[in-house]
Order: sequence, then structure tokens, then C-alpha cells
Amino acid sequence: MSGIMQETPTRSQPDKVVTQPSPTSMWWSYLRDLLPAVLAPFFGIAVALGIIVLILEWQGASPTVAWDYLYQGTLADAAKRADLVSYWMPLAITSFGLVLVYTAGLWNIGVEGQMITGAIGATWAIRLFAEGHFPVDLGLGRPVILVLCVIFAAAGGAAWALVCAVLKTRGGVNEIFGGVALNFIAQTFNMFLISNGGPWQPIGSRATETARFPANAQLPTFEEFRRLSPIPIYVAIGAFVLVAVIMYVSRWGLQLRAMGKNMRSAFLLGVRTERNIYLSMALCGALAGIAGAFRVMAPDVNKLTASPSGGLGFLAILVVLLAGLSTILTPFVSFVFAMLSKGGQSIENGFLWDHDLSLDRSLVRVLQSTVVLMVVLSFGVRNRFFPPRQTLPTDDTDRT
Amino acid sequence: MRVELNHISKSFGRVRANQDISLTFEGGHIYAILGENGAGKSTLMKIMSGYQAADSGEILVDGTPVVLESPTGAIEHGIGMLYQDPLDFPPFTVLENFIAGRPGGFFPDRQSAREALVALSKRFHFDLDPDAYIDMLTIGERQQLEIIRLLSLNVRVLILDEPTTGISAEQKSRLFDVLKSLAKEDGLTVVLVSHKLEDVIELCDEAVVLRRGSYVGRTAIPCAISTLVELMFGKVVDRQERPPVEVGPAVLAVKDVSVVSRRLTVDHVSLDMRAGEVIGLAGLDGSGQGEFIRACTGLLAPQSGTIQIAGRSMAGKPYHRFVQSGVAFLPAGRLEEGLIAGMTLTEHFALTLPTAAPWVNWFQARRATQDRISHFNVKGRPGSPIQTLSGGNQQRFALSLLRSKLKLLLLEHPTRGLDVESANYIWEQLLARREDGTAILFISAELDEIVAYSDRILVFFGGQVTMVDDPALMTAGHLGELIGGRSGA
Repeated sequence: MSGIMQETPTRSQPDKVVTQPSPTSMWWSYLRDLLPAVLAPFFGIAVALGIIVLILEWQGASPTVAWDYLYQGTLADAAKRADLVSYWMPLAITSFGLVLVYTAGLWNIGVEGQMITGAIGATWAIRLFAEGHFPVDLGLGRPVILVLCVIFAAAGGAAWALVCAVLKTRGGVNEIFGGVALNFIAQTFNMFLISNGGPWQPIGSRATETARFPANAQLPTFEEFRRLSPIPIYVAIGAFVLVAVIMYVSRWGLQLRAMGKNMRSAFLLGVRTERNIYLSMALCGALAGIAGAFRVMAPDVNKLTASPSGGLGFLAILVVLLAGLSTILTPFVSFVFAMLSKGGQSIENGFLWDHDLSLDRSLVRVLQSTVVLMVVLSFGVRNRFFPPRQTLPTDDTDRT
Repeated sequence: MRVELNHISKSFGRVRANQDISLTFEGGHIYAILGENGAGKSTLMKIMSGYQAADSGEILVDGTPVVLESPTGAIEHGIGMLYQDPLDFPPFTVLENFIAGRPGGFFPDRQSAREALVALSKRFHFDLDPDAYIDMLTIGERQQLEIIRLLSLNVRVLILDEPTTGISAEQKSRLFDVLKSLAKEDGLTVVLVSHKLEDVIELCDEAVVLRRGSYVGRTAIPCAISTLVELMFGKVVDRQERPPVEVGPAVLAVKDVSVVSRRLTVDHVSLDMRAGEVIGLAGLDGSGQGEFIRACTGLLAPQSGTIQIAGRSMAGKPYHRFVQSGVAFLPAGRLEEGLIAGMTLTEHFALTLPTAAPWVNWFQARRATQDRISHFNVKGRPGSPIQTLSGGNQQRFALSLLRSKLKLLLLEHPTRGLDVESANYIWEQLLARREDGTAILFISAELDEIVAYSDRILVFFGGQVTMVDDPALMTAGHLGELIGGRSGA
């Protein structure tokens, strides 16, 4: 039983009087908390870069050439920057959804599967309304079809997330295990649809993908960047505003935070925890589903592929954890990860073709992981040496 | 064997679980360690059995100081402990469990182990099949196996934690026979930790009483149960004359409610409460009062029976429906299930505000929190995280979060861990709520508190209840007997 821990000592101790701190000391204490929090990730990235340089030197490759590939692959020219944005948007949208559930203490590992079911949902909408598989020809225009794609994608992702949530609340299955299983099922179902004569594989084709989406189901693109669509950017901005309003202004966001800190107390204080689990999981799943749809509807893809999410869901988990579940920081952290990922692909190409960089491709993963590891480590260092104030003494007394 | 504990102290964080306890246990005697929940008896026994180390003090076995680094180390010094839940491996057979934990080589000598097992079971008339699997055995049989295992390791001091919970009457009488013969014939030291005063009086020679981490006294047995109760609870002030309360309409009607939990069954409880009434639930920890109060809030679904709140049938309805009907529940673990560590007072207030608006007006919430803080005399600021407040202030703040017009207020240990002044203040606030027609049902481990504030008292023992509604019977002696298991005496 709990609560026993406070029995003896407080009985004789008078209540501590809270002294009013002066304004300057308050500012100083804010700064004292803020500075390490802001500087820690930069410090981690700096250490990671140092280690990467050492690894490359040791392997006999030139760090400057590697850096050049990273730069060339991401920021060097407008087309590359457009590609980077096209990669960044789904990552950001998924991350915004994850901010909600992780704040509520729900470890939605299943986000990867929710992206896949979202991609399947969008593809289904395209098959029904653009490719004429619907019994009646509705003659819908492109805007309506695209809206239907987004709705189907959101429904697909939300439904998959709700399965996970119901398994948790009613079946007692932790969302982590449920999520892993559902990821696997979603991936397998996707492969069933598009491989080995699956129902969505074009007849006669041996590629594990659907046919190219028809023109009236393709996202509009920018005039000057044919591989970038403005729609995901608008949706990402919308998702950001929505999640920011939920987290910073709404009562519901407060409830989610309470659930994340102590589900039991929140419930007893009157928060409808079960309903909120369904709502937050469904919203996160819907955003992940939409992101999955944008992955397959990207102007340079436009078909359901074998790996619609491409590990983006797991990347998004890393993003929100490194952003410390902050809605404001999420766009920036997801940008850094998009760059690392895109730049990594470019370096991989360099490893393949450039004699100055002839290294094994897998080294790119090592380099990326080094950055993540060092940033995580820097948080650990901060908590160890600059702990945030007012932490509870950990005291799990059991004297029954 | 003689075990001496000298000046044992042990703290967990700010809690002093054992304060300078010195005790001697002689061979050939059976001792009882008594004390309310949180008195420190388990901590002391864990120190004695090598499970955890004391912060200071020493343990002497037959006059020689020993350092017990682990349960294995304690067994080597002849001290063994039988835990409340038998520590065995259910997928194994009796023999395999017997072998596990015995010193020996990589290949255990099954034959000699089997012979030892059979011989020991025969001696104590235990009916243990060496090849039976543990999960087929009753708790009592698993306990018997554990005793035999400890004895085969030449244990000379046997500590038993609540050994009579969950075993049959027949197994209990056999266990007591065995313990008596071990003490009287073999000269073992037996130490029993128990809540059940009847068992203690039946079995033990001497009782040692702890209260709030300190040694308060010992008494030879036989003695009256009331003597034990007085030692355990301290001097209970007799009930003061009070003006009769004006009771209003019925708020809670519980009829024939049974609640089944892992440990016990609360059996066919009926209770009618009227507005303005205060009813205390007495009983040793884990006698069923916690299950009962949770059933009255919808947190535990009763197995059978009906619960009505203000005339509306509520049994089986979820917690939030109870809350909507004007029920509030304040659990014992303030930071575990009452308040949310890491959130500020204002955030708590905003969270519990009964409004439909989808956003939070933080400016208003802050002002209103400030009002509550000054009204309830909470020492803290709206922006303080709740865990930085002291226990008394946390409890006062938790009270300030309750809605003003409640029909029924359920409290678990409302003043646990508070100093006298804070406790009085809490009760002032609670009793003031009766003016609004709130009925109060509370659990407390302090008999004082129950006697002082209850209009009626419901005593729990092993899931059975006795109602005490005659003020003349609300004395420490009478309640103590009921708490200890004497029905209706």
C-alpha cells in the first residue's frame, strides 16, 4: 500500500514556510534551468560530429568529402531542398500526432503500422473513386478525390490505432506489444495486396507495387519543383496549429498531461482516462495515416509500395523523444532528422561511387546512430549534473 | 538460539521505519510481533532475515555479532524466514523446490534430498508428495514445504510473516502444533508477525509491540486482548459527549454487497447512511474496509448486492457516474492516486474544474487557486508543483479541490502522516461539510480518530463486519476485541 511513506516524520515537523523569492533570483533560476536544456543537444551534436570525424579518418575517408555529400544531398540547390521538404513534412505530421499520445504516457510504437494502414486507405480511395472500382461511376473531380484520400487515410490510421487502444484498455495488452504486433500485421497485409498476384498488383506485373495512380488522383505540385506538393505543407502547418492549441490552450491537453504523469490520480480526479486514450490514439493514428498517404502520393512515387512508411514512424518516435515532447521544438528536431536521413542517403551513394569515400554503406547508419546516441547522452549528462529543480525524492518504501 | 537486536534503526528517505529498537529473542520461546500497518514490523523482520541491512545497530547471535548480507547469509547463521506468499517455483515439483536453494554441487543428490524430505514430513505429519507439482498444492501445503526446507538447512530461528492467512483451520492447528513442538522440544526460537490477536494469544508466549517504528512494550501471554489493543493503539481517549447530529435524507443504501478481491471476500455488507452522518470504518489493515469503500465509489464492482446513492441504483456503474451523483473519494496515497506529482496547484485546480469549456482560462484558474489556497490555509503558491508541499498542505489542497455540494464523501486515512494541528484542521473542514448535508464515510488506522468523530462505527475483520451504533460501546476495549476477531463479545 502506498501513502504509508509519510507517516512518522511529518507528524512532528512543522510545515515549511515558502519564502517569496526575489524577481532577479527567479530569473536566474529560470535561466539556470533553461540554459542546460537548450545547450545540451548542441553539445551532443558537437561531440557526435567529433566522433564521426574520428571514425571517417580511421577508415581512411575524408570527412570533408562526406560533409560535402551531406550538403549536396540536402541543402545545396533548390531541387534538393524541395526533396528535403517533401521528406520532412510526413515526418513532422507523424511527430505532431505522437506528441499527443506520448504526453498522455501512451507508448504508441504502432505508429509505423498506422502509417501503412493510412497509405492503404488512401490507395483504396484512389482505386474506388479514381480508378473506377466503385460500383457506380461518381465522376468525382480531383479535389474531391484528394479530400477522400485524406479522409480514408485518416480513418485507416485511426482504426489501426484504436485496435491498439482497445487491446490496451479492454484486453490488458500493453500498447507497446500490441503496436509491434499490429505493425507486423499491417506490413504483411500490405505485401499481400501488392505482391505475387495480390489483388492490387497490376495484372502481368512482377513488381511489388500498385500501378501508378491516375492523374486525377495526384497531388498538385509547385510550378518550379515538380517533385514537391504544397498540400502536405499546408496539412503539416494545420497539424502543428491543432496540436499546439491542444497542448498549450485546451483543457483536453491538460488532461493528457495529467494522464502521462499519473494515470491513476488523473482518473480519480475525474479525468475520463479511457475515453481520452481512445481519442488521443485515434487522433495520432489519423495524423500518421495522413502522413503515410502523403508518402505514397508524393509526386515522385504515386503508387503503393512495399514499404510505404520507410521507417518514418520509428524516426518520428525518436523525434518527439528528443524534442522532449515539446510541440514547439518538434518541427526543428524533425527537420534535423530529415536532413540526417536524406543526407545519409546521399553519403551512401558517395560510398558506392566515390573513390575518396569508398566505405561500406552500413557505416551511414553508424554515423546517424552516433548523433542520436550522443544527443540522448547529453540529456543524461544534463540530468545528472544540472538536474531540473523540485524533483521528488525517489522513495518506494514498503513497510506493510 | 538467542538473537539480540541492539539499537536497530532504518530509514527510507524521510521515513524512519525503525527507530532504535532493541529486542532479545530467547531459544524455546514463541514471540509475536504486533503493530498496526506501518509500525515497522516487516522492516525489522526483513533486517533480521538478511533481506535488507539496517542503517545502524547490530545483531547478535548467541552473543556474537553477525553481519547478515543476504537471506542466504542469515540462513547460514541459523535465521530463516517464511514469507507471507511462499517463495517457491510453481512449475517445479515439491522435491525440486526442496532441492533448490540447498547448498550442493552442480548435480544435486536427489536421493538423499528425497529421504530428508520424507523423513521431515513424517515427523511433522505433513502429507507432502515429493513428486507433486507446486501449483497443485494449497497455500498451507506450500507453507509446510517451506518450513521443512528451512529446517533441513538447520535453521534455529524461524520467522513467520502472517502464516495463517489463506490456510485452512485444520492446517492452522497443525502448523501451531508443529511450531509449539519446535520451540518446546527442539529449543528453536519462533517469531510470528501477525495481525490476528486470537492466533497470537493461542500460540505465543510473549508479544512485542511496535508503534510508528518504535518499540512500545512487551507483555507475557496469556493476557487480555484489550491489553494488546492498548499497547498497539496507545491510550484511546474515551468518547466525548456530543450533541446529536441532525440527519437528513438517505444518501447511501448498501444492501447485501459482497466484494471479492485477491486476498479476501467482503461478505454481505449492508449499510444505510443519511445526510450529515459520519461513519468510521475500523479494522486492521486489509480486513476488507478498503474494498468496501472502493465498491461504494464504483472503483470495484461488487459481486452481488445493490448500492444506491440518493435513491438511484449504482452497483456496477463506472466511477465517473458516482462522481456525477455527488460522491467524492479521497484515497490514502496522496501522491500515488490522489494528486499528480509534477503538476502545479493551478493545474490541479484547472483539471478538476467542473466546466464544459474546452479551453483553460489560466488567468482565472490562477486567481481561483489563490482564493482556495488562502481559504484552506494551504502553504504554497499557485505555481508550486504539488510534490513540493508538505503532507498536511497536500491534504488540505486535496480537500479544497472537492466540490462544495457533495452527497457522500469517502476518505481513506484522511489524516495519515499529519501533525495534530493539521489533523484537527482537516476534521474541522470535514465536519463543516455536514452542514451542506454531506455524509462522511472514512477509514482510519487510528482508533482515536474513529472514536472521536464517528456517529456509528463499522468494524471489519477478515471481510466480516459488525456495526457499533451504541456510543456506550465505542470504547477501546470493545472495539479492540472486534478488530481482533471476537465477534459480538
